[in-house]
Amino acid sequence: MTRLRAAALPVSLLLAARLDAGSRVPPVASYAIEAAVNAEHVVTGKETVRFTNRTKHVFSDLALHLYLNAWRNDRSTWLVEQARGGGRSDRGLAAKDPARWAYAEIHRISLDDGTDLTPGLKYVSPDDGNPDDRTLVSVPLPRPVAPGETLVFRLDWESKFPRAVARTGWKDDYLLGAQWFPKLGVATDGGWNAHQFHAGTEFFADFGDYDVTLTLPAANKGHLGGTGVLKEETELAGGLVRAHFVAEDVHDFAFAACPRFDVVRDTFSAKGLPNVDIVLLLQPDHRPLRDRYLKATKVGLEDFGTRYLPYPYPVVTVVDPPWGSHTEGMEYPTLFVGGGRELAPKKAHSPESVTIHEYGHQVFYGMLGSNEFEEAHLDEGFNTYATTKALEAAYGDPSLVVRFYGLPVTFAGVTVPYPFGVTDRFHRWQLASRSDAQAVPSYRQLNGDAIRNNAYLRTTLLLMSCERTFGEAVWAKVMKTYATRFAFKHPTTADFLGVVREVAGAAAADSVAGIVSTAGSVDYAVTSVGTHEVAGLTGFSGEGSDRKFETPDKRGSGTWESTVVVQRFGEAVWPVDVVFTFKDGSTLTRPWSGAEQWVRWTLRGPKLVSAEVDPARKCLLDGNTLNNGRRTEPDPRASRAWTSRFMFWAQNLLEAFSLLGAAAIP
Amino acid sequence: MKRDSVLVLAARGAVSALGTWKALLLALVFNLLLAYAFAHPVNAALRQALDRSPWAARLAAPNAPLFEFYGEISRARPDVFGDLSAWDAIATGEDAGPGGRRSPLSGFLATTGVASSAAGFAVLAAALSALLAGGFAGRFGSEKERASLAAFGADAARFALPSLLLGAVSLVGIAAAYRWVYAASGSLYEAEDLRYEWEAILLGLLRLGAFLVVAAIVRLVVLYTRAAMGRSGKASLVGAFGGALGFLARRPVRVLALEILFGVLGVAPLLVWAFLGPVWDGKDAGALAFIVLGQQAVVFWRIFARTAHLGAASAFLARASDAASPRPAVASESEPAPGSEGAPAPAP
Repeated sequence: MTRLRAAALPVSLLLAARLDAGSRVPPVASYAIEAAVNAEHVVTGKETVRFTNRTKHVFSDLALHLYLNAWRNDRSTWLVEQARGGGRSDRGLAAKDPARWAYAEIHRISLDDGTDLTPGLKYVSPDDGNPDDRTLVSVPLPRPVAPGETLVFRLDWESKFPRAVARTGWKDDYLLGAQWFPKLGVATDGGWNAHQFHAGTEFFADFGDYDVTLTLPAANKGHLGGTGVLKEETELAGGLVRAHFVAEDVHDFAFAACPRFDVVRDTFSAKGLPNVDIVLLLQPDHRPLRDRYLKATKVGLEDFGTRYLPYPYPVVTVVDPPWGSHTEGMEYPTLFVGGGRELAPKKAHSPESVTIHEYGHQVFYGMLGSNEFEEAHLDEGFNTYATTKALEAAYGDPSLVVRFYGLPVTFAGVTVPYPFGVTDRFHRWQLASRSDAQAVPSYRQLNGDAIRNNAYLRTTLLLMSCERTFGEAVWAKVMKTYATRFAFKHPTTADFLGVVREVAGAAAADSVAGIVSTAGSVDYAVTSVGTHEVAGLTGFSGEGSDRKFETPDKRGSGTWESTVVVQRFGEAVWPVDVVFTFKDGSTLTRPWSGAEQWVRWTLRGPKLVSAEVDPARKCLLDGNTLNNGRRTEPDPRASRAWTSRFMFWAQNLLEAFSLLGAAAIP
Repeated sequence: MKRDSVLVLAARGAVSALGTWKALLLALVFNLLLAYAFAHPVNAALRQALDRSPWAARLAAPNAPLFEFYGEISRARPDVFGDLSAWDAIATGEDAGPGGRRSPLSGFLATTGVASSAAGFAVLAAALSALLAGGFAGRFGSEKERASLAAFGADAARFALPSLLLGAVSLVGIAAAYRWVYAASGSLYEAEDLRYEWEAILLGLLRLGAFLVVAAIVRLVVLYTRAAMGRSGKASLVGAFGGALGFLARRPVRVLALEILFGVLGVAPLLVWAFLGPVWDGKDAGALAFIVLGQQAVVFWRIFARTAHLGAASAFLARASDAASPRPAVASESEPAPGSEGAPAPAP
């Protein structure tokens, strides 16, 4: 085991002037870390943390995350939640191999004056009371930190990376170092916002500056990257390499190393946006994906930079993970992990989709820094919405690609239009879980389905529905205003709703707030349509000498009376249009707030052919559009066409089954 | 060209199969009826969903939103299709079970809709084809009345029990090959622990290839046993089975070549139809009738190809038998030829 020799930390660096002028955010939690990772993936580290209390709260303790303890043993909250279906289904930890498990331990914590705080350290479980969870610790302070005060403290710790799980750890000679050092919770006016590590949620941290020196096996020299700027790499005696990174205005630090990485460098430049260096750490078996990774990263930089926020850092590092690493698709400040397959048809839009998505987190997670423990939708949902728009604009709709025993087959003629993937998954998951509204803190939602559905899909479809309902230009302004106003400020849902109210109006804000606070679905249905020709009068008309007996004209009046009933089956409300189509080809549109349980329209005019709620599909949250419309008379053509197709394939399927009995190839 | 070359045997099989054209049409009718029963819940659901819905017009459009419609109907009527993931896993090899693994062949009955009934219909189709194959084998073993439905029915009845038994052997053999060759070998390693994806793909394909080889052997044994039974005219499996095993062991290349040839012949028209076949636009009813006829022609061809393979196997056995028999007139001048009632042989 290689242990790091205690080294004097460059406190002066912490106090020094910033490397480039123009602080984006006053630092709250800054870290100077010196750590060594040995061949067994054990980390021995020292860190100095500079915490400045910029809240109104007086802090009498410290809250520190030890995320790697999520895989310390099978009693951790993360693994308990995963076992009951609360998170991502990563494999590997079931193996009885100690190398696959992880841990994190603080050996000593002290103030910069030498006061030892270690005896007071205790593990806490504020979320679920799990006494076996060690992902969060509380350390009492000998004197509180008042508003405006700065506290500097030091930590000696040891941790071990797992066989990669939940986007941190190692596989073969690859290492993604994430959530790997003791890290402060977020200081708020209400005290620490710090949660245990949950299987279904991600992270939240304060902005600050990072100065990190890593010592790794020398094979990684020239094949590593991390958050911020790699200032230098130095080869050390004993087969080691030391890498020094500096990052400003970020809220985490992650790194990746693999002796097999190809390091590809490129530069992004676009009118009106700052130049950005791109460092792509590429697996050698993914070399054919090089240009696709680079292009997708540039698409992200330009699209998100134009629509939301320009990327303010000098470099972005893109990590291409190896096969089976379980680290694909994850974001860290100024560094993200993509994910590609050796056989990757272009029409599948992969690795493009994951690259743009993970880049997008640089905006919603990296720069806005919302609370992913509690309001995961503000990052994942907003980013999925933005990713879909960027992908559609840059690449068009993908084709259906099916992998048969690992070999991809592209069905070029079968288009899977955006946002079909999102809508279909949402409505399927919605069938399985409609337990919680988005407003419920993410980590407290029923299970992984509920968390993912709310965080990613419901939010994406809500934002898309807003765009379609309230207008693309208005909604673009909402999103831009939100992003620019709350950059580096940890915005909340309430902040977003405030922007919606200000830019799109109170009705739009109420609609959005209604969806956010409702667990149920949106479902409007035309439940009844009827139309009949208005007959002429039968009986007497007029009075006195004008009185005459009338019978209806057999030719008919030519005027039809139509009655349509539309009902709201879902719990959630969204404003919709109801469109009536008449036999003469004319249409009539009636807007409906959607709030009532039902509404009936009676119309006079041409013969009604059909009535349909939201035919333009502005509301993508409607879980059943089959019931959105109804014709006055049946039209069997489509069902006949599809019946004939289905029958044919059923016949061929049965003929294929025949081989089982007749034993001849069909 | 040799009389037992692959192409000659294939042609003889095709001619034999054509000779049983009435029975082939009967097989098509059975297939159609079974497919109707199988597809009825879906067809009924389609009518309910579409006939009064504006979706109907949308689906008739040239760029019909098929994915959206399938998504809608499978969600709104989950009872119709059921959970197709078990079938999906078999077809794609991409197992979506917990941890990426599920118990092999599980999940086919524990759901609703066609996903579940397909398993039952698979067994039914296999049993029916086994019964019919007995009839075909009997006709191919006979030189007379190949077109006779009555003789076909008599053969099917005579060979019913051994045919069903052979069908069961085939079914169980192929399922066991999947379970113990493909699936079991997958539990010996963790694909994601391999260093490169191509290693995982290659291992997966090797496992699939091993399964297909074993399944092909099972199929060939059953096919040639059935053909031998038909030639012998006896509903006895033991002799036919032993003879088939010996026959296959001596001619592995040609029987495999025949299998591949008929496999290609069977699948090719389906692929052509899948990619080039016309789609009804909902306007002209005559066009729909034309399309349905074309579809039936494809299915008929596939049944024909399957049957012709049996015919080729029967012809192959006959040719081998002929080649192995001594020439009666030249074999001995002093002994009577078989069936000559002891009459003295004429002088050469």
